[in-house]
Amino acid sequence: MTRSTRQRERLRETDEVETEDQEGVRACPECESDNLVKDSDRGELICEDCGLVVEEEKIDPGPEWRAFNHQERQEKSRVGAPTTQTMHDKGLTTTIDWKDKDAYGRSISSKKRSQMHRLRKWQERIRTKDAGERNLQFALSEIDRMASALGVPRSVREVASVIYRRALKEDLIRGRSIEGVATSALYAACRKEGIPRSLEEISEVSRVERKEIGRTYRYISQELSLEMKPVDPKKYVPRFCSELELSEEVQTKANEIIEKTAEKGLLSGKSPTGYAAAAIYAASLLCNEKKTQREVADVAQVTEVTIRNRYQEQIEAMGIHG
Amino acid sequence: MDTALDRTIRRDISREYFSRERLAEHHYRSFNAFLTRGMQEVVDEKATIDTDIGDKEGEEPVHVELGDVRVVTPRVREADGSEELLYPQEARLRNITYSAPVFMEMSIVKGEEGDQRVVDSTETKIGRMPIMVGSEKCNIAGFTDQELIDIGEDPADPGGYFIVNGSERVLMTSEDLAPNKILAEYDTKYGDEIQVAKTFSQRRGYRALVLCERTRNGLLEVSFPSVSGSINFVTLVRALGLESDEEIVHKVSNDPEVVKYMLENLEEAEVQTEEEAIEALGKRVASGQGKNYQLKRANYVIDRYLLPHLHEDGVEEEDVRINKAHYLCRMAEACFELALQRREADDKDHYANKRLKVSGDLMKDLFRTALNKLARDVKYQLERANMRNRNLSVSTVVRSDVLTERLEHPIATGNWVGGRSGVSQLVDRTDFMGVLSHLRRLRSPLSRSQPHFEARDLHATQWGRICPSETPEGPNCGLVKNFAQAMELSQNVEDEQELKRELASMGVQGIPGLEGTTRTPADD
Repeated sequence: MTRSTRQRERLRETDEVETEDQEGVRACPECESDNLVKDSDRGELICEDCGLVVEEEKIDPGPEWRAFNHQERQEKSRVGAPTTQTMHDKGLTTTIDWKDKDAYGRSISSKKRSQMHRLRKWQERIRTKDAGERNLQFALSEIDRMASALGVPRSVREVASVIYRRALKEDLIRGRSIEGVATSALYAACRKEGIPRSLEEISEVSRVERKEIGRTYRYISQELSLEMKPVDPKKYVPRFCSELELSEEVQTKANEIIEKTAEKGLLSGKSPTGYAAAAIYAASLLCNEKKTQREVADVAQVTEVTIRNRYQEQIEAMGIHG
Repeated sequence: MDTALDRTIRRDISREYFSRERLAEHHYRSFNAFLTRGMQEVVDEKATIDTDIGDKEGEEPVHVELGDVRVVTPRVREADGSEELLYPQEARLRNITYSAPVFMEMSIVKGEEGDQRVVDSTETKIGRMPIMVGSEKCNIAGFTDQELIDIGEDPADPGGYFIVNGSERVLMTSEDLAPNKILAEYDTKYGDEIQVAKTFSQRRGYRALVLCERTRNGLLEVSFPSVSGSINFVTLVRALGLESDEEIVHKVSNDPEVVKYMLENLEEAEVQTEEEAIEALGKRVASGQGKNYQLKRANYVIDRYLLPHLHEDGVEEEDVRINKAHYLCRMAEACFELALQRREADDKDHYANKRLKVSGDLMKDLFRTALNKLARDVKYQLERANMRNRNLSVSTVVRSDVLTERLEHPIATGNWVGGRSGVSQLVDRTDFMGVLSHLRRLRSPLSRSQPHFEARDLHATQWGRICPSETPEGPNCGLVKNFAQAMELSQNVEDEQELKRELASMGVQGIPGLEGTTRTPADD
């Protein structure tokens, strides 16, 4: 009785915070299992193994209304789009709606309509304030353009925008072209998200040369201490195989070859695209869907010589008669 | 006793008919026509993207020429970059859009007239176009029943809808008054009954209402977009090139009573010559501006906003104005005939005066706006790249998201260009009949809250075309209709000039003094 429930909860919560991992995956304080389940009916976080109630009276962050179809949901919802880093204003500015109708749904007079048109125009212009924001706007639209040309998903765009914003804050853009830094940010984001695009592919959609992209990337990743693991050639396999129209079988075989030979250390120091290309070539031969070295080289944008060399090394290591 | 065809024979004919023609055939015909011809027509209309580069000193003008457009079958691009054929069931399950990449040839051309060189020319992907399930470019077109089952589709599914973000959406066929036709009717203004002749003049997605009305004084007035209020008929006709009194009276009609009315009108005329008329028009449209600007504006308004449909491909520019004058005289004649009760007011519910906009037409309007937006974006990117002295290349200048977004968003929400909403609806999957009924539905754009008694009535011309019994109860009774069982929708003519030549060869005479095409003498 010395402490109220509220204070006890607060103490317990602070305890919880200490036992939490950095990633937010928690362990049960009593039995150390990570099998924690949310029970939304009672607002509790419980351990499935020992039954401990880890958290209770969790506040439900959802809406206070229910909706039974899409239209109802649109009407009742009071929130808008989620904030995004891909827009220079993070999606936070508002625009005047395009419909020329007043609050009652009636059409407005033509004088008001032209006034609204002018207001919209000025609202659009006011969105971008100073040079820094304009820089950001241009860079973000470049990232957007390149990302859609490459066909990478939204999440990569967000990561690339975040990297660029950090670079802008650390003033790394000085002396470099905006496009260069934007391209390197996108390259870094692709690698980080596990869907790497080779420098050649990125330079195709960028306004900057391959060498400059590489140089800028090295500089940026060093300054921002982006921890980049070396690219896994297996990530290139699905894309190249689909461009060459090879079957699933070839893909799996190529992955196998890469795994086995990488274990033996053949990968270190070699370009991952060339490595993957050679593995695909080998797999295509083994599965009787032969593609010439020329074709594979074109798709992977490496030289035939690279493929030939890697291929020789790989089949030696695999112990297959070449 | 069945004096008509025996019931079993009728049933056999019906079955035979539906084994060939699919139930949503009008959707397919329209969309296929759009894919094969419509898209190319829209691109050809646009033809070039001009930029403002070259307006300054020391810069060569740059423009982009648009070439052939091509659509492939739907594919999906995964996160790892691989691309595969997309089938409808996968699109439904994964909540993605069943769309196909669109490629267009673009060339960046630098230089003045006569001294141009192509800087870069490629066929690039400009975006993705949602494809109708079961149409020509659909991946399951032509599959046998067993193949359909294997791929996860229902063989009995009629198709004819789009899949956008996983939901199946139908584009509602809507009915409108026929464009480019003169319709005469009575109207009341300040308590008096007046006669009005209307025409919806439509060209390339722009629809203008041109009105010619006979006021209570017997005077003719014309009104058209961009000009507030109405203009005196005689003034306008003189501005278009018909100067003398005899010409005007003659063009309207030869009937003595009509001539009498026309002479009354001519007495009240404010201008006598073409120049005076254009000046008067200029004062009207750009009052308070300099004389030059007034003339320029008057000419612009006449060419752009008055009867735009008369600017056809085979007609010379000089003739177009005279054609417009002739057309206005026809409208005046309609007014007078209505006043003299020689002609009945046109029935707006008669299906001869109506045209249907099916999915292909709606997609064409959408594609036109999307292409314009893409053109604006390309212009902006070119100007910016030029400002930073970068090499201009087609692949860095085109952003495929712009077009894709502009095509998918209206289908997903139902808000079409032109401010209409409710154009695309979620397919009613209550039961099989619900699907068929939904695909064969017809919407009228009239407001649901007004009574519109005549529009909601069953009209005699609906016989054989529109079901007399299938219509909802409640506020849209009679405004939402369904097609009859054996209804067939005719498509519009591809080449109007060929139609005119054909008619001329059959002996149809043109209006004297009006040469649309070279006339071939009648053979008989």
